[in-house]
Amino acid sequence: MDLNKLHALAELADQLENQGFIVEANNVHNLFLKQADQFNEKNMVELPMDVSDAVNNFDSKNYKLDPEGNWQDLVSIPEFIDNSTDELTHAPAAVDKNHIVLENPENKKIEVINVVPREHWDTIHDPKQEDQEDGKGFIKRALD
Amino acid sequence: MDHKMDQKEDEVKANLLNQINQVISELENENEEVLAKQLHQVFVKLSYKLKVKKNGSK
Repeated sequence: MDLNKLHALAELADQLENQGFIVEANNVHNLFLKQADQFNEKNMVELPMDVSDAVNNFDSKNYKLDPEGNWQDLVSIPEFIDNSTDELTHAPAAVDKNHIVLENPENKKIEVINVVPREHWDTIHDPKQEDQEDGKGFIKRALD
Repeated sequence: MDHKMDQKEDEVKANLLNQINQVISELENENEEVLAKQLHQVFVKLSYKLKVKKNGSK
């Protein structure tokens, strides 16, 4: 059972409910719950720390964050912490070598922050120069 | 006017049944037979309910 099937079941339950077929909607919803439990057992990722612990895994001199996940507008780790709410810094999180995974407290959705090492800072996309014909807009040079 | 509304309602119901069928097929293709059978039961009950409702409304 993959995520697409779970989405299909959830959507089906919604549509049945919208059409007034409540019993059938409940039946499909129960199937969804059973499958979601099995899916969780196999695929659930533990979030063992909070966001402030997660960012502390990275040296702020050598790493910056790409919180929007669009490979542009990097922010330093101290700047990220300063601009974060208490709720966000205490949100559940996990890290790997180049990512922080967290549960966004505003919408309860799982989000990924790219953690960009110094050697990749000069590959960040600069949308302000995107229209330039020489193509420089796609590369923002880091300050030496 | 009523005829048009009936037609639209029939389309919605047909789409719903098609959608269930599609999910059943996908489940069968992935050997999720137990789940496919359970969903098939939902399909059968719903088809029956729609049939009775349609015949009853005539």
